Amino acid sequence: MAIITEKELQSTYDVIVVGSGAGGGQSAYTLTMNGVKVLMLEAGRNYDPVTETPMFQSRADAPLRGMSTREKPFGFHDATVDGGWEVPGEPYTQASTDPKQRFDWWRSRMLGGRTNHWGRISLRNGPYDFKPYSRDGLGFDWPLSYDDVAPYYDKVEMLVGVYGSNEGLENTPDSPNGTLLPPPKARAGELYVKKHVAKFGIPVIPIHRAILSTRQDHVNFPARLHPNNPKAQKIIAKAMQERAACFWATDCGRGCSIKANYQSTTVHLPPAHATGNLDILCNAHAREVTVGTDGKANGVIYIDKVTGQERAVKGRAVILAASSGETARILLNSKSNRFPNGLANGSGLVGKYIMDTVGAGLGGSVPAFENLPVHNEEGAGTHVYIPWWLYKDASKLGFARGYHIEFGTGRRMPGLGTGGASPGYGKSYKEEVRQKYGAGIGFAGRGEMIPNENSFCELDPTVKDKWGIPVLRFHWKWSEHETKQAAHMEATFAMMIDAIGGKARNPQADGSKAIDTGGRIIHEVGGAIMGADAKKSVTNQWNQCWEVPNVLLNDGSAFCSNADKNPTLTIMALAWRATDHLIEEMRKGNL
Amino acid sequence: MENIPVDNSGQIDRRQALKWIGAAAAAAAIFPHASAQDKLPRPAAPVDKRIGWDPVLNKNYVPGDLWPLTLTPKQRKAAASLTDLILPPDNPGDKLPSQLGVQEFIDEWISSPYDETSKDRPVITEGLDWLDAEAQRRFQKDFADLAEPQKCAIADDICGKTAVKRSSSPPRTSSAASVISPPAGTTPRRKVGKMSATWATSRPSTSTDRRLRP
Repeated sequence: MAIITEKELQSTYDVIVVGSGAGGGQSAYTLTMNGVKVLMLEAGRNYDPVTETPMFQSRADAPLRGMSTREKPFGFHDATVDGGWEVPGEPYTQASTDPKQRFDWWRSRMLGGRTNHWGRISLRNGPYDFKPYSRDGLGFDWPLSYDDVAPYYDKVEMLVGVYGSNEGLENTPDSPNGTLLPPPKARAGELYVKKHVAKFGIPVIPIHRAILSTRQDHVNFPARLHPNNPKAQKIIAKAMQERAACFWATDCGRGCSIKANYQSTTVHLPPAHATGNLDILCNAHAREVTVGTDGKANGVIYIDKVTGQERAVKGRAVILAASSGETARILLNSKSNRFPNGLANGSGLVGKYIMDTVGAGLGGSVPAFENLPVHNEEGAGTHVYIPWWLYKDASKLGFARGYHIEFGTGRRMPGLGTGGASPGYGKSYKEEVRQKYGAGIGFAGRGEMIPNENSFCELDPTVKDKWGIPVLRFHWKWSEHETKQAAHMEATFAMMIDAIGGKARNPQADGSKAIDTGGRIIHEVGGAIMGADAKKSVTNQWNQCWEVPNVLLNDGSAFCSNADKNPTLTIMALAWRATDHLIEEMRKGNL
Repeated sequence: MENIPVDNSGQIDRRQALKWIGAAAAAAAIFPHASAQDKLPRPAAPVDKRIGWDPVLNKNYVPGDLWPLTLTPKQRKAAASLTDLILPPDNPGDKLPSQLGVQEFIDEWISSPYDETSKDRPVITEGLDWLDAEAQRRFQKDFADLAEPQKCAIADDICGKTAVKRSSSPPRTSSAASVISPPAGTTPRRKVGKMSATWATSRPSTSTDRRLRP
């Protein structure tokens, strides 16, 4: 990706986009395809998946067989640069020393952000997911409905490339015909689970993932994406032809040099750059949004991380897509006489109602999977999943909302611990390793958290990062809705492992022990929720800050609920929708 | 982020691959007369010898690239011999683990600046030293120079038969003894048999034990 240096900065831009991940990438794409001049600020370094991805390195090619380390918590080859649970020189703090009140914050400092390593699971929120308060009186309704977002889900799926199937299940939306790419076949172990859990009414269906199972329809998609915009059609048609289909052999978490999966750096930014309307400045850490005498935002102050100097850039509008936490931090640090508590924080809600996904897992060993004939079980993570299936039982469960289940089976690239044989040696030891290789199963639940008053972030009163910028301090508390849900997950996993004749490792009946630490699923959303009432929310349905309408929050920060569906697809759909509205408002002269 | 637990994740039970060698070291506690003889100081790796926050990823690393290896030639030879015993070739002509450099991987592991792996250092070094000492005691040769039945005799002892004699011993508090604790969160497995009895009854409760808990 060609990036600019500070010397090449224009004196002013139409829009400054802070962040280059899913929200920033989509915003920049939509703006530049429509002729808007954009400056993108990225706090991390430039990153090129085409030349940097370790596509064919095995674990044995990595130090310590690629194990998790402090600097590379998801393993050596994970596509995270200068980040993880820690970013050197950029701490965050915890309000409590209680481990149950921790919030762990995953950040990366690279072009494309966390889209370079994410799991690519791309599930649409359903109609219920936008109106949760109306259904059970908890949390907040969104100031928009599924029907408002659906056309943007269609467009994002076509643009980034999502495989999956239409199953017609409750609150699990279908996509229009021809939008999704065909899903890969289920593996033997996945089919086995499907067969044996059907008696519980548990559906096992193809998952949706942002990976090209086939090449994109570069003939028809461009006109559906950009009607009446021949230049945009031409650019995206060319970009689609530069992406290859997946060959099902490498780990998506490393990124993809052939552009078969979605990451901002291979899908959003190249066509945006090809318009000639995008400047990208890396190593530029946004500190605050500046405001003019008219009360509107007029630019961004950032730290040039190479020189440590403070710099300012000007724009007619600002889009924050720095990650939910970082966006809240920028708003809180943007203090002025007009906005003494931080920008757009008249409601006092900036930093409030942060959410993650409820996570719990259980593994087991399955004799039926032992000694299967050797066959190709490579692919892209799990090929199937279990959508939430108990909508009708909501009143009986003892917790609100629900979860979906992801699970992994089969032989994958061997690593330390493969086979899990007993201590021993020689021929029989080798046989046992082979027998057990691929005979494990791992279930993971991913469920909805209800936003609560006890989970929020604020500026730490004393701690600053190496650039002198106040850092976030996190407060976190799961409610019983989440812990009971985690206990339900564990019981369900144990039941399913039993149903396939397996032996579960350690089912945890106590949900407060089963539940993963806050932030650990890396589905951090909220912190600047949208709503219909300016007193009770930070943005309107167009991600526009009520008090500063030329500032949009196009990452997950405006989420006012966090359905069990992984948030990235919805971040992109909402960013596209909000950006379309911004362009319209700018054209009308309203901003 | 989807981080599905599967049985072969590089992050899960990383000690598994070394468990057998760990069992070898456990014998150092069982035969206290043969405790470590050439203990090495733990290597103090400078910060720039760590993996770092932005390493080049599409490059093949070999042990020794990032931090110096620390096994003595004698220990390395014993480790090589041991890995060949653990994983014999299926067919004549197949490469042996020692030809694939497994002993260098073990060396990289215990020599690293990371607590998660370097805590295995005494397990490995004392165990390897014990192997040679035991081989000398019984057969007047280093372990690597033994005939296969002799190696097997020692390995069989480590795998359980001898441990039964000591399974009712009082808890031990030496650092060598701590190695016979199973890794935190794991269940002693069936083949360990008598050894698991040792784990269950003689887990030291001294500060050395805490090392094994992340």
